[in-house]
Amino acid sequence: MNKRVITGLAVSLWMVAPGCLAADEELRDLVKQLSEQVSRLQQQTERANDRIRDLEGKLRQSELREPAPAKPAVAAAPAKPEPKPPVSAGDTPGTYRIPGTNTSLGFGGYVKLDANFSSVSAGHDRLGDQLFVAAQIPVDKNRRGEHGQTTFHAKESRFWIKSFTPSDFGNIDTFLEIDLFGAPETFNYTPRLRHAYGSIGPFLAGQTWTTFLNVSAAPDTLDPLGPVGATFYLRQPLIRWSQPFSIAGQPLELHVAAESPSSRLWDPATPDQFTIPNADRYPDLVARLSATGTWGNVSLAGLARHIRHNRPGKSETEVQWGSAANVSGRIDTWGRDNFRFMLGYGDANGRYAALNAFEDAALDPNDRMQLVTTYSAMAAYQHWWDKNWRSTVAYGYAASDQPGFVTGNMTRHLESAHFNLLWSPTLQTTFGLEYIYGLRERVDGRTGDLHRVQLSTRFNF
Amino acid sequence: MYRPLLGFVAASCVLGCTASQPPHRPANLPDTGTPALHALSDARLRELMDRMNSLMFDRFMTQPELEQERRRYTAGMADTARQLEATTDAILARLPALQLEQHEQTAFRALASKLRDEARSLHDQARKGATDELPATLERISSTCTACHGLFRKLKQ
Repeated sequence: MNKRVITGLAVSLWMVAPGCLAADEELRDLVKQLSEQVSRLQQQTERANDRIRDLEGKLRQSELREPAPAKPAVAAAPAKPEPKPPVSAGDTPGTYRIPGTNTSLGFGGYVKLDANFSSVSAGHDRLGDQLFVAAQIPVDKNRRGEHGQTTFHAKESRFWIKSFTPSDFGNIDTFLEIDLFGAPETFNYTPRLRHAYGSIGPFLAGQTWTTFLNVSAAPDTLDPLGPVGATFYLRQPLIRWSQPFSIAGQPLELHVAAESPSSRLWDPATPDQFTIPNADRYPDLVARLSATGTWGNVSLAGLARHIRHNRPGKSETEVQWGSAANVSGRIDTWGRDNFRFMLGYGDANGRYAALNAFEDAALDPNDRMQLVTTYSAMAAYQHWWDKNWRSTVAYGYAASDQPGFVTGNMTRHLESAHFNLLWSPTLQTTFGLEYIYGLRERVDGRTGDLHRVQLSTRFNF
Repeated sequence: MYRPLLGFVAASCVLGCTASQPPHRPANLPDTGTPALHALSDARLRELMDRMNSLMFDRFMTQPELEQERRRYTAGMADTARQLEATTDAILARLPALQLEQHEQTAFRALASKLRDEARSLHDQARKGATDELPATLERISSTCTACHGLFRKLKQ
């Protein structure tokens, strides 16, 4: 057994020994080659270090010879623009803050088309075909011809801009609004200033609704003049102070204003029987007390006017003070429904009662001036069928106690009725159809009437 | 077992928010003849919101006048939301007298607290004049009312 093992090992060693010797030789060669490569790399590294030292020396010498330049890298780099503040929301809904100020600015308006189908025309290029001007309803022979008249226009389209600035004296509001009713011609789209006023706290100055008007009582008619007996066509330059206070827990507000005077007299000596004297001395003085509650609001207004006339070439001046009163309100009923009304009376109510319908005073054959008492009434009910559909029915009446010497085409009394159906599928759009009836009676007893269907579309922006 | 609960809920809650009230009241639910206080608040809030929305269609008032009107309506909403919050506090104060099961108390308290928080939120929004946020909060209040009514009407069945 042992012999066999020893013999096997000997044979194996004999077979392996020559291979081992060959591998050893190869390893020796490999090590030798690696040693040579390392030597070459060391030499290259030494040369590279020498070169670096040489270059650093040259750089140091160069820096010693020349002063170091100012560090332009940071200073000359283009300055990063300061991030501009983004446009931010203003202090009131729908406004933007003007960057760097505490003023909020907003603008808006609407585009409105009116298509009027009238039973009779008010006359060529007269405003009465575009708006319901009861005083222009043709009477007697003026009704001949031009029946079944159609007028399309977009003159009620409006644009407004407003601003709001808080201050130590109260909020500063400004408001500017224009429409396109600047000229009566149907196709003349002249801009017209509706409102332009500013206010700080309780003080307001500029052109806006007369203080005699409680604008929240204006009915929601498609026609912008609405029923007769409603004062809501009258905007004029004014100065107003509004003072809120309360009595027994009831919030009240007193408005006192001086407003631009303007008089219109019946004058048989002029071709069109009207004269507008340029002799106004004092402003129209207006006071209005309003009460507001969860039920709506009611206003009581008083007006004093100084009406003055001086015939050119004559030394006598006719002067009279007149007065008028107005009660108006908007009473909330069920849901969104509401009842609106206006009642006016007085011998200074003339131009406040209806647009160009009545004179403020009449001149007799001796040029003596007599004030004309007028009375007016308007009632309207608005019903909401649902959140998108609503209707308004309105009735208006205005009349004057004309002096016996007044003749011709002067208006004695007016009536009107409005009924509409409006659809607002969104808060920004309204489509509507309105029926308007108007009646005009002159001092000579002749009458004329008007039936009109008005189709309107309105798109707010 | 649920009779006390139904009695109270009928008086103060279940007849609740009129806008979301189901059309049919269960036959054996006691009817007080008058809606609950928080239902009146909810109806008033909706009415004020509707009236404020209708200002969007007004074209005669100037923008500053419209903003003044909006402020008046939001002030009214703030007052009403405060009343709603107080009413909800009163509902929570009455909870021990209801003799509800523990899980019912938990649900009732959670819903009442949610209503109170939403009323508080509405009050803050109305006071700040954040008119854009009001409809969503009103909607949440309505949802809370509906959830409460739905849950406690089911309990009696």
